[in-house]
Amino acid sequence: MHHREQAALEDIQTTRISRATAWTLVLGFLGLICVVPLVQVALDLRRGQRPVAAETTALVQNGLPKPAQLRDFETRLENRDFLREHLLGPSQALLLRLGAGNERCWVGRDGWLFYRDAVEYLGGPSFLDPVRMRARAQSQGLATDSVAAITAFRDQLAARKIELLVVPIPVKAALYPDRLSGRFADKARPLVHPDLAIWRERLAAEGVRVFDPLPVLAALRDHKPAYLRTDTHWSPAAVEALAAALGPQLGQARQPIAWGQAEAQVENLGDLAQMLRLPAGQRSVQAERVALRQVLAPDGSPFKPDPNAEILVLGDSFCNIYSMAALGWGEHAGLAEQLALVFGGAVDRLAINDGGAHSGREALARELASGHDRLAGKRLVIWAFAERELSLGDWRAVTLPDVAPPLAVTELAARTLEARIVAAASAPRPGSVPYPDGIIALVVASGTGERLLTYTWGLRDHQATEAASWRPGDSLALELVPWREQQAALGGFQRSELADAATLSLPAYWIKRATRIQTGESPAPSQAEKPVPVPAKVQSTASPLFAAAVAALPEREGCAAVLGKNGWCYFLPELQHLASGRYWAEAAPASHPGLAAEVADPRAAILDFKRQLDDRGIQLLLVPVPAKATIYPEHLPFTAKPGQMDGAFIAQLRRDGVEVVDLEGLFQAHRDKADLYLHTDTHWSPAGIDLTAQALAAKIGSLLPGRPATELKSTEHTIELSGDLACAVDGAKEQVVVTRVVVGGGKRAKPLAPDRDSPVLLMGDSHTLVFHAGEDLFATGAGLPDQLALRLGYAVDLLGVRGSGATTVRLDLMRRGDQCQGKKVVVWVFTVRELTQSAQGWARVSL
Amino acid sequence: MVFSSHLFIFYFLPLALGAYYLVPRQLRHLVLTLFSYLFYGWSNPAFMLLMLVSTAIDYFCGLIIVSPTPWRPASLVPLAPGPRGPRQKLALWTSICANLGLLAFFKYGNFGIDAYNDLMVGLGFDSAVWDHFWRITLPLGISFYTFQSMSYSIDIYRGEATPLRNPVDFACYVAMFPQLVAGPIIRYHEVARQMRERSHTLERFARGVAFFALGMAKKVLLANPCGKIADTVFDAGARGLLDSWYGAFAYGFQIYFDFSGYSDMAVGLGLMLGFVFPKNFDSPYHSRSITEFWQRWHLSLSFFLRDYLYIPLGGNRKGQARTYANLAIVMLLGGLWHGASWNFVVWGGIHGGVLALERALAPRRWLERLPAALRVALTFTITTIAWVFFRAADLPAALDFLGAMFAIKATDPRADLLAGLLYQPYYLLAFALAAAVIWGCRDSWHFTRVLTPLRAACCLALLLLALAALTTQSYNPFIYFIF
Repeated sequence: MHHREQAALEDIQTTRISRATAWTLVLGFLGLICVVPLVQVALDLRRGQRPVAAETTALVQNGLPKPAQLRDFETRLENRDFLREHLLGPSQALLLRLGAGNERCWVGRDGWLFYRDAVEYLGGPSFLDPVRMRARAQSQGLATDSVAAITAFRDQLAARKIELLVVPIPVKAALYPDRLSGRFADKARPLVHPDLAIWRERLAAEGVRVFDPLPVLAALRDHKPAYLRTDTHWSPAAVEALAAALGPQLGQARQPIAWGQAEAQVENLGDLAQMLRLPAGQRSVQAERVALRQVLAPDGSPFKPDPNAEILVLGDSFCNIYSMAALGWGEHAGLAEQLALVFGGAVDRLAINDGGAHSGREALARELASGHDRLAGKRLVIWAFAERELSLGDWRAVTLPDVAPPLAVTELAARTLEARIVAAASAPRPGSVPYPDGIIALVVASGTGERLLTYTWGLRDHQATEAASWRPGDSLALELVPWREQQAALGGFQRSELADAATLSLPAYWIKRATRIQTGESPAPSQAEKPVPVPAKVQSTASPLFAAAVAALPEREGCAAVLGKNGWCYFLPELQHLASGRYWAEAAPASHPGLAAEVADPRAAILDFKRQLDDRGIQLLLVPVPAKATIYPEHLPFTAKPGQMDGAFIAQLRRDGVEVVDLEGLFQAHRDKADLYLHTDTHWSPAGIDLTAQALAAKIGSLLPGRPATELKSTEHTIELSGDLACAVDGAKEQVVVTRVVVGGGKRAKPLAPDRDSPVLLMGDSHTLVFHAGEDLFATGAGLPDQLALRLGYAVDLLGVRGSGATTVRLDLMRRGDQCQGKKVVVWVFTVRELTQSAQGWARVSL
Repeated sequence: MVFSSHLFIFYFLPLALGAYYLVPRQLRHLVLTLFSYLFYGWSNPAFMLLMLVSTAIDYFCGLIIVSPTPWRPASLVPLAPGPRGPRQKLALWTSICANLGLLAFFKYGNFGIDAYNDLMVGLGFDSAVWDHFWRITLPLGISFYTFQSMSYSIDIYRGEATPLRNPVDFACYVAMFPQLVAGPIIRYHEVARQMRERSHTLERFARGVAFFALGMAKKVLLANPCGKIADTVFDAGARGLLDSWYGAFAYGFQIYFDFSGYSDMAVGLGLMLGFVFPKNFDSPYHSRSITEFWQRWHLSLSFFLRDYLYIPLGGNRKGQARTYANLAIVMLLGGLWHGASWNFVVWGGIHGGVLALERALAPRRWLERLPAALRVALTFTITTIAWVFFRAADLPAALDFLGAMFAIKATDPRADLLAGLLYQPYYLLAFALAAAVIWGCRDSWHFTRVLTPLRAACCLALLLLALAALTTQSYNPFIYFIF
């Protein structure tokens, strides 16, 4: 035997350990490594999730798995880890105390946080060194030549007679090195990467205009914060200062606009603080408050990017902050807004969080490829991106295509279909990106072989979504809406695109709802695993099975209620509505046989009303209240599920330009948290009202920023009621908790009265009155107008009718005779059954 | 798959141990082989095929060496000393060429392309650069298992070991997951007897647990934070004198705790499966010379190079000049074994040069007259300077780093950024703790030799702490995985 082996064997044989200690050590170790996975599986099952570990057989279902599949499996296993869930926050808090951040965030001095990539760029090696550029290109598969990419982009714009102005935005540490390192305490000069000057010279030699914001921000830093303490991004003051400095570069507006301004304040914990993943309730990092100068149109409505503007702001999250509410720092006060203010004209914005080197150019190319000429009328493109992109970004070439002919109308319509995933972009790993939300692209093929580019959430609130696990080969039931309709709201989110440029020319859709019905790699997941409970198969027409089931229901004299399971009662006309087929446009007369053709079409009436409001500069928010059976089909006395005709109608209205508040999606997402409808009544419950009020308040808040608010109080009361469907359960009662909203305190407290002078008019059927009007509507001070006022901080005007929310309410509005003077927003609430079951129909009413 | 991963600790290891102990004794090698292939294939399933081919070649070469009818070997006994026939020589060289060929292709292919490209650029033929040439992906652990596999044929050829009749047993030896991807390199004759017979005892398993816990703690609690310091300094575009030394020392700590931690885990896992692997590290930073350093650092590689390269080259038996040349060759090749880069050549050259120098100065004994602490400090400083070449991205980067260490480079104001990043209590604490463990504590073999209840509790506590840290860290590289 060899010496080393002999020595090792002898050493091991002389181990001195008592049997009790040995057993303790072995059992402790085995217990630890076995208990953790068992607990994880038990927790997964208890939460109704399929354990990730159970997917191992699926990995080898189609032969040897690919490395990416194995990485993905391992990542999901780690992300689901309960130990991580419980230990991450406390350990991160401990590390913070010791001055360490994590892989994304460095901890500076005096509570300042820094984005690690940005600091590493600033203090890092040359980004223009050809050897390093080639090494990075090879190891990361990226294009690294920023000068070539920018020059090519400039050339393509120049061919369209558009100028390019490049604005590299300095990293925070460049302005605040003293907040990172004590060695800078007595040095006031900002830090600059030595390659930056060479880079600017090279661009200048190519004739590309570059604006250096550093002197502007450095001057600002002396008297105001130029960057946020806990966030990667700059301060509102920095945005305003840069916009002012850029003013001379913008030229004269062809159509001047006298923008207004409003002051607002916002308090938030920055993205860097959130990246630290500290435990809830931590006090180590404090939220910060900033003052915004919001930009308003002459009519007082907030700034909106104008696709026909002369100037386009292209960029990343530095262009979205203070514009995109999802970033948490308020709206209507970002770079495009401030530039518009300085310019005195309209400005367009196309900004996508992250990937400033390429994502904006790609989004622009996609717009052109899909037939939307975003460059029409432009004379200047301001491309602002984080300077760190020069070292870290992917500077891939993007060819701006000729504007494609507009897609056919059928391609732009909302649609439901079953499709198979052909290609899927990888969702960013939670914690690996600075943003809480991210969108992923999927190419799907329908049964007929048609290919569509679809988008959905891959990351929400720093958590991977179910869609992030979808893989090519999975089959999905999809409800799609055209991407164009969602672009304004979702286009700024970080998007993981597919590398294949050919996907740019595919029709693009947003996945409104999806169900994985078959996976290419594993058995279908349990219902509980799906993020939003939706019918197993989405249908594009009314369900014949459902219609047959409704038709078979016995009619009871004097009682239109249908008794379902578990004490739930449904309104028969509402079920009959859900059984109907297409009911608008050319199908309207046939679907409303008892009505004259001119009052049969709800779409025509709604569009007419919208047009009248548009003429008066009033924003219409349409709020169709979903049918109880759509949200809670499982309590129906039969198993057939309703069709999706209301969804198709709403999608049509959106294409017509009507702003529809999607209560169906909202209710589906929250249906298991509380009963959103009363069991024995046709109306929604206080929980349903509360959700609706939240959604409306957010919408109205963004439309009417900066309004003074009154402090209102709320108290909770339990009431017992017997609803208008209780005849099906022999008058049985149910208990609900209502939230009464009052003004004043103590004995002087009283419900808040509607305000006729309010800029917001809430109109509609009895859904606006239930829990507000008292008597047969159960309570006062706790209905939708009250909850809305509570959230807005001021009373709304109310026009509610116990009868039809379709025509009667508009007639009442006409009878007011004031032509909606002083109103800015009209919220029109009605139950969807009115769309087919309204006795008066949908007459056009002139205001 | 890496030992310090959630998947390995909580899923792979319980299943592998459970299966190993539940199946009948004669199936244990099969179970171990299957789990080892799963372990190896996790990084890329296609690489399993490569290992299978390498294993098959060496298995048959081993049989051919001892028997003219390898498909029906009469008796498998070690070869008697004496000259070998052409069949045996052919089998040996087939094994050596196949293994070194695989290593050369996968490990040095890219190096060849890059060297060609640099030459073309240097000569001004930019258009001749192979920019779009196929880049070869390096299979994990290929340096370890090809050496291990090759040692089987050589040991049989030399008559130092008996070949294995059962191919599963041989596949198990080559693929054994505890030491597969980052060593220690287990030469065949070191475990040949254990492949046939070994004992599984509670005490052995318990000591394996202790080894594993200490290894995990070294890796997660010490190597990782030191690695963050080192990465930050080495990746910076500018650094000052103090920061450079701090980063270089931190890298020295990182590579020691990373590799010795992995080796401890491998030894621990081996013990859990009944195997005893030889020691791979013996407190190398206690060395008082570079010669001693190589008797304490990565022992499995040192002994491999000594027995299969230095001694066949003539060792110190052919005169002084030849001895120096042999030392230089061994260290240069040892450097190249780590990777195809000029940095490793320089690293090997430094060690080879200092080894030769120490040998030349040995008769004068003036080094031995220096205080021990000073000799330890001097040796550590030399290894640290050599580590700069080991860690830096390329040769210019290494020289740039050395320029900062010796203050022969103009200071860039950006260098001061590092102070804010590195001199935080967390990093300073980890750095100080690493130094204290290196120079204040005995090695894992010593610590686990007598496992009192207190020491056992200490091991379990360290394991718990390491696992807690592991679940919250995503920075978890193993340096030797890339070799």
